[in-house]
Amino acid sequence: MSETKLIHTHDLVKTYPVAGCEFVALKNVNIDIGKGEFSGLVGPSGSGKTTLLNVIGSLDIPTSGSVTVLDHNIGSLTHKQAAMLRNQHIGFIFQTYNLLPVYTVFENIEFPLLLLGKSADDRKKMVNDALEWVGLSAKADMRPAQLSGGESQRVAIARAMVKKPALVLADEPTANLDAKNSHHILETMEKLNAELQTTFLFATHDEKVMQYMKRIISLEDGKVVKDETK
Amino acid sequence: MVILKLAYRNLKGAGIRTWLNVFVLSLAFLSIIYLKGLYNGMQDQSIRISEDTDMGSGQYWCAIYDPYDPLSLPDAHETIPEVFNPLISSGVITPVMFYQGAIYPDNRLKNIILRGVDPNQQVMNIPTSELRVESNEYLPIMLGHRMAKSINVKAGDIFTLQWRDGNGAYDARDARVVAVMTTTNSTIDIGNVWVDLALLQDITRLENEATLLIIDKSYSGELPESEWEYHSLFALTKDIRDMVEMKSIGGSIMYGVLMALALLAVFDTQVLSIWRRRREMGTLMALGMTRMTLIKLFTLEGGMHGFFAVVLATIYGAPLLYLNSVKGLTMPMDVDNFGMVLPQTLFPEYSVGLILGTIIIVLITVTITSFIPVRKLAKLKPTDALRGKMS
Repeated sequence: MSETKLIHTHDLVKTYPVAGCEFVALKNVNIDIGKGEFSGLVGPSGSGKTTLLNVIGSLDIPTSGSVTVLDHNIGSLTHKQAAMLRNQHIGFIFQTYNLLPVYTVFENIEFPLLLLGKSADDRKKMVNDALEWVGLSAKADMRPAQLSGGESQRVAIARAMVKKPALVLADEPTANLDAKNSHHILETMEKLNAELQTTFLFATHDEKVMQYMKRIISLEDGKVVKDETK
Repeated sequence: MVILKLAYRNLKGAGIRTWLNVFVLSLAFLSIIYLKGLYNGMQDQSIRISEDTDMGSGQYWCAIYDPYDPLSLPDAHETIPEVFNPLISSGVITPVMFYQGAIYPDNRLKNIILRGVDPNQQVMNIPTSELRVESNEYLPIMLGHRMAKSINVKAGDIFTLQWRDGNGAYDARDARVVAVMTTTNSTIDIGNVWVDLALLQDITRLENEATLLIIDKSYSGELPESEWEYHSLFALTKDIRDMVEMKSIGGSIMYGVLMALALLAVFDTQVLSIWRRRREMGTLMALGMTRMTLIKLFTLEGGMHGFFAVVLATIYGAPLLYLNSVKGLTMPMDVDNFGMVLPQTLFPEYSVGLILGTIIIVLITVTITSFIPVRKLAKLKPTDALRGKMS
């Protein structure tokens, strides 16, 4: 794989058993995503966006075909290797933020660094940097329940970005946000993409998100139907 | 170290749920230590009292004597083997003779056992010196306070004492209570009448005979071989240990139930925690946590309930247990009804082994209980967890 190619899928098929039958979620998906891209997987509900994101994020494995992420063949990774890949190189942003409720903002952002075994000093510096990126330094000691939806998603972005991963996967990151907050967090991610050269891959059907995408890959019934770069 | 920190944060974050479980566990933990300590204290005190007032460090029994066969008592006396004479002379061994008799306090018949003992003996810690009274008018006798109370007599009272001598002839004389001793050992009190051994041998015409020989508890020298059977203190106190063990089994059921309730609370919390925190688990896996670490984290969270319970129990329980071990537990009813040697006040004994052993048992059982519902995480798919499903 070329140095700039971060993600490569070849004839990717993913099926699920549903009520005794096989439901095909992804059908022969072939895409390449390079380093520093700001791309989106778009399509209606059930088109396979989240499934593709999960496979690329090593949260799931392909039924057939291959997926290579950062030179790792997702299909052949053990559970531990997949966890390590996610831990070191991939950040996730979820629609429902998925912050850990008993932790403060600081501790939520610090969490991936604890798993990476960073020292306390390094963790403090990196978390403070991440808080600055998303403009939440003043709310470091708050709990997720005390934050607005927009603030919660910014914490989720900070958590995904704090370890400076090569790839950030965002699944419907603006679905629970109003227009103002959606633009705010998309601008934040755009800025981070430009500054840190982190590759962002979104799964969305939100028009507001699509405006920001440099590349849009359209999916329908598990197939790539359009792949256009602005 | 990381999961320890995470487990602590999660438990702290769970708030009242954690502390309720911890409190219930600490109660179970304290109850186990308290009951065990009480039984340990009961056993040790009973053995000490028996050793001090009745059994010494061991006994030699004449061949016929069998404490479990009352019918053997009339014949349970033999001439003391000569081999014991040096030890008897030096006060290391004291002979005692049991002999059947009857007394008539207020003209009411009561069967008793005459216990003949040397008034100068130092082997048993009872005031036998009170029997050093010479009188031709009456036989000096000593009673325990329970016996005196039950037949309504006091020191100075006189009543008839009847017995059959060695040849089977009935004989009787007036006996005078020269002393009423207070003793914690009911077995040497109720139904017993203490009398000078020499006098008993004389009136029964059983010269130089005895039923058993008691060895001084401080004696550690050689013991002679004899046809009289030797019984160590350990063997003599078997009944006490058996009785305490029986009571201990009853206690075990109680603290087993307590522990089960506490463990059920921990188990329930774990199941609820796993159910409610499925998305969190998915998030943790997405952030790079392995299933194994997840299992360790949740098991540790459950296990830490045990640790906190130990800490909490130490905070509020240690002063209580200490106070209890110093002040003792005054028995609420007459301890004579217990059927074993017991003091009126029991002092529980909390050994380091008991406390450490209980801590280890609590920690292990809590950890196992925590692990059981967590096992299913070994098959958890991150995608299912993120959707709030259990795979």
